Amino acid sequence: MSEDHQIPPTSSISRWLFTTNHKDVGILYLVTSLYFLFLSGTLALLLRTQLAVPNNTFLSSAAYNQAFTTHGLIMVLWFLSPFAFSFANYIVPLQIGARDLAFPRINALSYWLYLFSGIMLLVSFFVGPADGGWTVYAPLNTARYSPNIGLNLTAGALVLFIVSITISSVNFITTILKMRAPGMKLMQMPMFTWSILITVFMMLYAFPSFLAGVSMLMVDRTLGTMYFSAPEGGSLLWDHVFWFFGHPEVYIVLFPAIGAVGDMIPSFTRRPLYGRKYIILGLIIAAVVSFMVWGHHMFVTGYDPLVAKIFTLTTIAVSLPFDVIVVAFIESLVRAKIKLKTPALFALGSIMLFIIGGVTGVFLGSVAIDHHLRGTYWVVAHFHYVMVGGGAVALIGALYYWFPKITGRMYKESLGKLHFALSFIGFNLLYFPMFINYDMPRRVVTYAEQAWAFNNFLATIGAFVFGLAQLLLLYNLFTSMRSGAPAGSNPWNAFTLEWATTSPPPDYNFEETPRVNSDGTVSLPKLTSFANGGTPSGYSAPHGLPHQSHLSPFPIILSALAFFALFGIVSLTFIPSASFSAGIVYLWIFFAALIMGGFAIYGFAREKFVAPEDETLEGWPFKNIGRMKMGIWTFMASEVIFFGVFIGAFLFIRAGTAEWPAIDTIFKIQHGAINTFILLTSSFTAVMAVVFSKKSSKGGVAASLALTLFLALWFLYNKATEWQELFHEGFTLSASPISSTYYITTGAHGAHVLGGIVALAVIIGGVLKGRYLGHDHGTVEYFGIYWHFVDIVWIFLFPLFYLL
Amino acid sequence: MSIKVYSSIFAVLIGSTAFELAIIGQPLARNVLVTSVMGLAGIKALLVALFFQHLKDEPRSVSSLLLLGLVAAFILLTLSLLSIGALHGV
Amino acid sequence: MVSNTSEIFIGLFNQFWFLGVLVSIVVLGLMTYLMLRFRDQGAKTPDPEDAPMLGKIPEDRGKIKTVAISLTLSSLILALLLGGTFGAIDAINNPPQGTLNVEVTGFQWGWKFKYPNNYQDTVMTVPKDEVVIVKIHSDDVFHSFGILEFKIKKDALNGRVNTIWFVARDAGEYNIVCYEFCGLGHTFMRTKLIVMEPNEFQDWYSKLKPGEIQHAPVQQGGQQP
Repeated sequence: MSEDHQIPPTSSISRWLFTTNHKDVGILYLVTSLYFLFLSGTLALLLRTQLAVPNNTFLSSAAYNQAFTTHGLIMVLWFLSPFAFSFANYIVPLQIGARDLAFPRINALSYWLYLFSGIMLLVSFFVGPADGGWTVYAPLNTARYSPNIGLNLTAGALVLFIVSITISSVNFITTILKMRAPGMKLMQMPMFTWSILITVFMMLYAFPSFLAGVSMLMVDRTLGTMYFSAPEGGSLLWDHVFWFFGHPEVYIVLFPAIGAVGDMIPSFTRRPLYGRKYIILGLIIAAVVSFMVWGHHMFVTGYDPLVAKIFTLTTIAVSLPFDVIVVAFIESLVRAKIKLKTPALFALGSIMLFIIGGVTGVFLGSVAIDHHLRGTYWVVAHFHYVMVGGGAVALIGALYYWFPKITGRMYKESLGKLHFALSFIGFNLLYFPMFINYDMPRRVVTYAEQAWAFNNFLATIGAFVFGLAQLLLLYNLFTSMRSGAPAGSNPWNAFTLEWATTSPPPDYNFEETPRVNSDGTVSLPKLTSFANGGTPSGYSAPHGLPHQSHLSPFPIILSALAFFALFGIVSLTFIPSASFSAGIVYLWIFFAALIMGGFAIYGFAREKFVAPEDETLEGWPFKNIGRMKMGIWTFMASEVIFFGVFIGAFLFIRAGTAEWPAIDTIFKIQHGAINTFILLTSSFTAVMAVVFSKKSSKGGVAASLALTLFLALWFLYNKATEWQELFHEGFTLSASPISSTYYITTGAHGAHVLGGIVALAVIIGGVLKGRYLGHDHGTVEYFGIYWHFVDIVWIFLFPLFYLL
Repeated sequence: MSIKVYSSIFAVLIGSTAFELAIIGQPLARNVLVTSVMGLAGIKALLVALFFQHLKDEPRSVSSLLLLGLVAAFILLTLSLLSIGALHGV
Repeated sequence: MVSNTSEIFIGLFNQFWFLGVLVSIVVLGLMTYLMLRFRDQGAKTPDPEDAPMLGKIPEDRGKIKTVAISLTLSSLILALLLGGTFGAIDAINNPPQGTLNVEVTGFQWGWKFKYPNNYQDTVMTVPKDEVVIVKIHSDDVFHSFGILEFKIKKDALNGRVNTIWFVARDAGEYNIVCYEFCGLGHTFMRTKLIVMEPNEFQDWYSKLKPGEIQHAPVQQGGQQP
């Protein structure tokens, strides 16, 4: 299939199922995320209907809790980022002059994992939804207090979602840093690309913490471990792990919007962005500091007062870079020629709402003020001003802005302006009254206080105005898609490269690769115009362009199998108190999906898929490293956080445990030491395999890798016997927080060893057939990078569990 | 890099592990013990990363990626432990 | 003001509110003005000389001076707010010698109050004008103990004891609310705080029998009433 030079036409289903082209994937993201927007928006209207008047009984407590939990999860995770990433997919490669992302199949995989994670969330909504809020606080999230299968499925959905995000961030980092048009310096990249680059870096470092947290939650709920049920870890551990992800997540959903605004402003003010480099610097600083402010979500947990002051300081400080950004945006308007088209209205309106969101956020950064405002409608109002006002509103502007590029047609301007006016009024009517109601606790199904009634009523009216106004957007886009006026290649007279090709662009994006010259001028590709203003799909690439594949069946297959594997595993439970059963059928689903997944991964690895690597592209600061290797290293950076959080959780629980077993009592030094020697040796044999591979010594590679495989199996065998002994002594998974951290931390490591074993088996098979030798030694080397990382993790786990 | 370099790194790794095991039995103050054992682990990890993973031959940007991850994990660890008073007196 | 804590909160909140409103009005006003002043009026508005166009990456513009001025201004404002915050939080965190210690336990879904004489209740009763120290704890999940009118709250966690303190200024009835979502009955996890005149309180307290529970236990189950 991948051999095909012709992509099926857009009317063909198989194109949408198997496409790997970044523009198609972008459209898939767009449609899916908009679906989630309207779904979750409907839930929000239910919530607002319930709150319209005091003592209302429109929704039961249970229904209300499920509705706001699902509303929050979808809006923050399944709508905002994917919506932004529909543009990231479609626009970023165009903006940097690339022909696709670095790993097109991985990109399609990201989409399908996202879709299937969303399906799993929806399944959970219908079998017994999660109802603990999108923050799923501990220990309410444990099986004891929430014994519903829905939360297990939600955890599974989150795992799929996070995997999708992680591989997607690796993909975008590699693409943006290694595949820019020749001559394009980092500082010459458009603002949107810059914001996506910073966003994916935040994703890379923030989401693994969430993955680790959700993994702990999953084992707590299925295997009965005690990360979040025992006071030693419990509430505070979840808080730390969740908010360490959760705060950067706020900027993750916000930054693409800021970047899009940064691209729209020059187009509609007819002047270059003011203080561009300070905006970029501001975004970078805010991104870095965002990893040091999470404690402000925990100001009233009663933790150390000095730490609270540190977090107050960092939180208040993080408003400074945003101050720079906003001031630069405003300064951009001076002596400009502002064309108030729909995208501009949304962009500028979004800045205004963001200012209000930012100012009210400073209140919450103050630990003293938070002693009253925490958990109230002030918080609700604030983050909606930031995430909806600063985030979604700007992204809707971006949708209007890039709609002509994506469809080749203009939307209806007057309808767009009406949409903006209704949205802006509705928005403020919806959220501003919530500030005034700052005494009212959030997440309550109803209230008796008459003092809160009027503002709640206003908010509900605002909600319906805001919500219904969005139907205008749908109507406008649907009708314009077919009958709008042809847009031409550059309707806004913008300067960024996505406007240097036809609307919509051909599959290969540009007739020839654009080139940025040293004086800042850009050598543009010639434009081939087509009769109807667009490009016929499947138009074969012009002569001289390297062949590029655009189709693969494996992303959707792999995602579906991952869905079923997780579905099986989260539905299994060994906890008696949980109300769902440990059906053998789930185990079968899990194993069947796992085995088929193995074949699918093999098929994926062996598929002939061409994504040409062009040496002429601008790749600073990763010029001298291959795309694949860079991707692996980037992925490893996320693994550092993943294991860092597991080790952190272990130390956190250990610090809270009064009596830790003396060394060599439960964890016998002998077991750990032998396994340490085994893994160190396996690292040595793995590095020797690379030496032999470079020398094209087939026998040498095969022998070294076989030895590595043997050592890895031996390691796992030792692990298994050790676990078995401990189990017999009653040191089971659910025995104590000590046993929980031990089994799960070393288990997560063991799973990585197992992953290495699978990879080794595949690679050894290939070596015996004469592959992976000489110039093709990359695969052996990449395996080594992974394997040595697994070794390094153990180098730390050994002393932490066995020696200290 | 030559087999000789790999072999000597491997020897150092094995040796320092043996050294870790040796000092565990010694009557040392707890904080001296923790510092030296974790310090040794850090050195071992660094050797594996620099030589076996060839980090020292890669562009510095690659090690920066990992360093950033380490720093982030370290911030989480320090502030979360500080918040429950676990690092007082260390 | 009904308590020292609401005084602290409202004093600090007003500082933030005043500066926040001021900054918002100035910035939003300026932005609106610029949008109107420099809007495209066709031929009347000349094309800016540095108008960006395809084929050329625009030169960077922007002075560090603007950035520096706006940063200095906001730093000053933020420093002011930070000073107020640190003063207030020290007051909130450091209780003086207390005259009455009450242990409060949150559970799904209600509050239990325990007095030094082991008397237990589901309603909190305290004297006015005296320092009350509240030790907060949870029997099960994450709750947050908040006195709505006193504008003070602290989380109730299993395995931890958190402390707040207050001095009530006026006798009367106030609302105790759970401010952290804790499950099905969260909304109705509310009770009353009764503030009495000191002599009235002494009278009430001296008549209590240890271990007695005066008010009806909170209804478990958390359904809507």
